[in-house]
Order: sequence, then structure tokens, then C-alpha cells
Amino acid sequence: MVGMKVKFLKINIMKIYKYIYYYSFLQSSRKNAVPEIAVYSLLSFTQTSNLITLLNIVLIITKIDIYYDLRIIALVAPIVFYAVNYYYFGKRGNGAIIMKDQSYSLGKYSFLLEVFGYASFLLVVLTYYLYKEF
Amino acid sequence: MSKYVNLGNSQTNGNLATAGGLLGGASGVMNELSIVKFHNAAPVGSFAVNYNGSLRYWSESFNGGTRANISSSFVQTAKGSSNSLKLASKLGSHASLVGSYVGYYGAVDNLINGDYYGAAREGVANRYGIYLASSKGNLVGIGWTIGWNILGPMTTNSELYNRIFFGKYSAIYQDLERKNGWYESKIFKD
Repeated sequence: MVGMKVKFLKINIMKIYKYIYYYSFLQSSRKNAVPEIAVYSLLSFTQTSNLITLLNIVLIITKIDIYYDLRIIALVAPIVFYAVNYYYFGKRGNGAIIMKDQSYSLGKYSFLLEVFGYASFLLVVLTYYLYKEF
Repeated sequence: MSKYVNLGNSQTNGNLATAGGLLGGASGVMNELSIVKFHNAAPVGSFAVNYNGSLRYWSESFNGGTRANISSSFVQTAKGSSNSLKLASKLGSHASLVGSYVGYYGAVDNLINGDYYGAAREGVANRYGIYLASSKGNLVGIGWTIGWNILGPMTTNSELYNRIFFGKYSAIYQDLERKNGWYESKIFKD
């Protein structure tokens, strides 16, 4: 049951990243000669924020009181995620497949992806606050 | 970076972010200049290179049958310019990426120091910088980063700003007064 839930969550989050890739690639290619880099950086910072949020939630639920240095995650995780995104979307060609697929276009609901991007860092702040102060 | 509350090592991060922003600014300007130069060099009507660097003139000249009118050396020049355009854009994007990376670290640094409002503010501003770099071009995004990292703190640490918004007897003004030695200031001699 737990395994199923994790799988369900994983699929949905991957789908959100694909939607973000489609939306921001279109946006970026209007202005940048090399649109991928801005998209990868956007994705990797969002993913780092989501990772930290998940970690904080796990720590809050399990009530483990450890001092972990967020700065190390903030230094290492974006680079790792950048490499992963570069490999997944660029090297393996999944990015080109996504760009051909019109179903990734959210139309007028595209602003939700922006909301998700901003909210992901605010969630980091909120969960870290809850973890530290309570 | 914490500009409003100075907490230990945040000064180093501020300097790093400034350096990243300036580097990005220089590359961004180079990027924009090379675009302008290339568009001025292209003869009107014969072919055009799209803003994103793709070679639109190539297919058009084949379809329109005007291939003979374009000298091959000119096509080579255009291809070279397009490649340098891509390189400049790559440089600008990477500079923007470095700026965002340092900015993200700074936001998290605020979080560690317990400045939750500062962290949220930095995080949102950083995300907005990436958004601008992606949607409005690297120059705009980097301009935002420079504005946020240099002009913002310059304004909010200035005597006039704090005097007007917080007043002479506020804790924040007096704290900054002690740090910056505004006792000797000639602006507001009572």
C-alpha cells in the first residue's frame, strides 16, 4: 500500500516537471538562442526545493531532531539535478519527445506551473520553520 | 543574502552574488550586442536568421529559388555568426545560472540563520530572476539580479531611506547608525 502511494506520487511529480519543461522551453526559445540551459536551471532549483521540502516533512513526521546543514544540500543538489536533467532531457532525447507532444500544453492553466515554482521555495521556508520552531 | 540583518558570514555570500551578477551582466551585454551586430549585417529580403539562432534563410532560399543570389561565403559567415550567437547565449545563460545558484544558496543561508522572511524574499526574488532570464532574455534576468543584489541593498542601507521609512528613533535606524557611523553624517544635522 505504501509502495503504491510512493509510486503514485513519483509519477505525478515527474509529470509536473515535464509540464514545466514544455512550458518554459517554449517561453525560453522565444528569447534565448540556447533555450535548454534556462529550463534546466529552473527545473533543478525547483527539484532541489521539493527535495528539501520532502526531507523536512519526513523529519517533522518522524520527529527526528537532528541538525543537518541545509547549505550543503543547497550547494550539491542543484548541480546533481542539473546533471540529471541534462542527461534525461538532453542526452536521452526525452526533451525533444516532450516538445513534440501537444498534450503537455496546459493552455490557460499554465500559470499554475509558475505558482508551483514560487510555492516550492516558500514550502521549503514553511516546512523548515515548522521543523525548527516546533 | 541578508542585507538587512548582518548575520555572520553572509557578507561573503553577498560579495559572491555581486561577482556572479556582474559576470552575468557582462556576458549578457555581449550576447545582446552580437545579436544586434548580426541583424545589421544581414541583407534585407535575401535571408534571415531567427532570433533564437535557427537558420530560417536556408530553407527559404531553397524554396524560393533564390539560392543562386546568395554567395556561399555569405552563407558561411551567417552560419558562423549563428554559432557565435549560440555561444554568447550559452555564456549568458550559464552566467545567469551561476547567479541563481549563488542566490539560492544565499536564500538558504538566511533560513539557517533563522531569518525566515528574508529567506522567503530571497527565494522568490531568485525565482523571479530565473523566470526573467528564461522569458525575457538573459540581459533582463541578469539586470534584475544586479538590481536586487547591488542597488537594493544600497538603497535599503542608505541613511535617507531608513530615516524616511523608520524614523530617527527606530531600533533599525539606530542599529545601522552604530554600524555605519552616521553620527558624523552631514545630511541630517539637527
